[in-house]
Amino acid sequence: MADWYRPSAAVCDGQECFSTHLNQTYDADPDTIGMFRQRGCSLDGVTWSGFPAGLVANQLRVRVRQSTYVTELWWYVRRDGIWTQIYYSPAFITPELGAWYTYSFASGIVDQVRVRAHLPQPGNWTLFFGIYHIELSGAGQDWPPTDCEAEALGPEQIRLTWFDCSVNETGFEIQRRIDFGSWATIVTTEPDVQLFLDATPQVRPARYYEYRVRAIFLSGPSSWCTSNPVLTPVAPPWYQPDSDNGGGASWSNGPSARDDTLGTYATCVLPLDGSWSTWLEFTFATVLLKTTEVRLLLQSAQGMAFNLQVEAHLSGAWQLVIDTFPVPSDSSGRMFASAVFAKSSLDKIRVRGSWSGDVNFWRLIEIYAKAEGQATQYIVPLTIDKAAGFLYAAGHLAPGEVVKVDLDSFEPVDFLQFGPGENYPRCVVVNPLTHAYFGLYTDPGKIVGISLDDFVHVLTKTLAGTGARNFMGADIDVTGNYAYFCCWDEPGKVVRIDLYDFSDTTLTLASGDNRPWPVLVDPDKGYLYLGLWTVPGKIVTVKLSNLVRESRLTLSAALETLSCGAIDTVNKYAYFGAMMSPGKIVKVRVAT
Amino acid sequence: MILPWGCDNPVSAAIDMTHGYLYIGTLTSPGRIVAIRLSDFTVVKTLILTAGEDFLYGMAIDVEAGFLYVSTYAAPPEIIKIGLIITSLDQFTKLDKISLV
Repeated sequence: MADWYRPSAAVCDGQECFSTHLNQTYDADPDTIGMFRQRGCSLDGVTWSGFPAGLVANQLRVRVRQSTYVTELWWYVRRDGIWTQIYYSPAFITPELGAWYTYSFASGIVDQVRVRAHLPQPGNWTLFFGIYHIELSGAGQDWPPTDCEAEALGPEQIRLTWFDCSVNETGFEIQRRIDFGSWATIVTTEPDVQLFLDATPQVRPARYYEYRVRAIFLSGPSSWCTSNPVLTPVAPPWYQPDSDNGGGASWSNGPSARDDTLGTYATCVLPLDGSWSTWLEFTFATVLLKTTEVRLLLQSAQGMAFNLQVEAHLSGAWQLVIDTFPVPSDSSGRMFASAVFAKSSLDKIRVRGSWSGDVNFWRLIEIYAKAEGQATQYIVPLTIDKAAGFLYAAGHLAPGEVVKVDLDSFEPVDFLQFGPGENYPRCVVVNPLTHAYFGLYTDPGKIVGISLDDFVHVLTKTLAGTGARNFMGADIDVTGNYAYFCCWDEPGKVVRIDLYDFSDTTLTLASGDNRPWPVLVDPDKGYLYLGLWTVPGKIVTVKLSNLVRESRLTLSAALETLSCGAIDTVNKYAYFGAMMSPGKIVKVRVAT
Repeated sequence: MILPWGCDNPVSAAIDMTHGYLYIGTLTSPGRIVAIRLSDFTVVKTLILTAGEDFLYGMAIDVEAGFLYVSTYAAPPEIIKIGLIITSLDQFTKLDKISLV
């Protein structure tokens, strides 16, 4: 493996060739940065030199732009003192903007590169051919490694990479220091290696690690290439299940009891006929929202391989997350299995194995799950499904998130993330026991429906082409099976969604009916009331039967910017809060 | 009606028509919840939450069970469970909360 090297000098052969072509900015206009320009059938070109001495190269890559439309190109390298053509482009090159074009050739010591261009037909055409970057890939005798970079892959793992710039090393010596202490050699690799993964137990969370690498030659070591210091992140919490067999799985082929004396979590004797053992199920004490990973540490008592399957109970459904044979193991016989998946709520894990042959059993030593991040943030819409006994809180995030809370236990039990672009839920209505519909503050406006029964995302309604956007408030007419969403706009809009077929109707309010926020539906009388974020505040009445704006009430100057509301459908009053300091509440008689 | 001192920026509301009360949440730090008796349109009690329980955008009511739920615009957010006024003002108090960590 090798690094890429650029020349430090260029010479133009032709009388109208005028450029050094070194490290040009690609997107510049070739006419302004220089190029070589040909007329007629000239074969003039450019020769680059100034590559590192002793460079043993086997690849050339270039970035070019052609501003005329016909040319022929010949690329040459001077390899071991002899000019050799390595590429010929017959005609009609259309370089892809910004792309590298790479040409391979037999390796040798290369000190010059040359390109010649040709316009096939004689004439007065002018050829503009900008060359922006030219690089050789190679290595040299006794060259030290370069570009040593360390990256924390997690709290307990670091990836170290470097460029092997030599062709004759016997290996690479890697040293590490922790928290800027003393250097210590940790490994000497084979030759041609460019990657080292440092991991637990040597790598721990929240500490500084720094590495340096040098090539080892028969003549001695090279100079060091030192990495950047890297700080490993704080470890996210790992959770262990609270109980095994919590789901009542039977473990008929062997003991399943926890073996504390050996520190093992469960032991399983596998069936000998190749069939799967029964599931061993583990239950977590609380639901882990935003779970991203499960991992297991196992040991096969006889060091024998076996098939392993792991299923995670994610958002209420079992999903196969690990299906492997053999289970990867380290030199001490410990076996590891892990799976990474999208954020989901997790409450159970189950494990089983199979093996066909001699007696075999394995021990499950550790089983963990990791939940990342907070279970949503910045809640705006909140609603409850009283009939089913759950509360739904949506995070005002991109994409939006919803956490389901069991009202009996008052514990979060599930988590759901909207799809890409389904951002910023601002309002919600619930059709009891069936669906919740979230209005999103997006342009165009979107409505996301989730099924309350199984807590899954079931639909997205995008109000494209209607002008409806930035949903701010919502209410539902359960009897009519309509949901109403208002748009934070000038003038505002009201979108009615038919919950049977999810068709939509949009009402654009009158001039001055700006920025509606609270939406209050009185299904008995068939009216909808909108509180406006205006100065002074206003209340707009809309007739539900035909979705027609009927009237507007302008409040006194002391009442402005209506931001919340509730309606007493029995006594026929509506109440609106005015976002002011001090806060104010206005009571309004509605249709009786 | 002008709300009591500190109860600025009402941002969420829920109504209990059965027992005749309106509840208003505020966009303040800490958040406040105002109970208003509908029969005479009077503030009967204000609940001042503790520090960090701020910006009560979300509010939901379960009249049958007798609880009000408010949520905080924070990271991590909290959901606070509050008793509704059924027979006594003393019932209007913070009962429980969960932090969505």
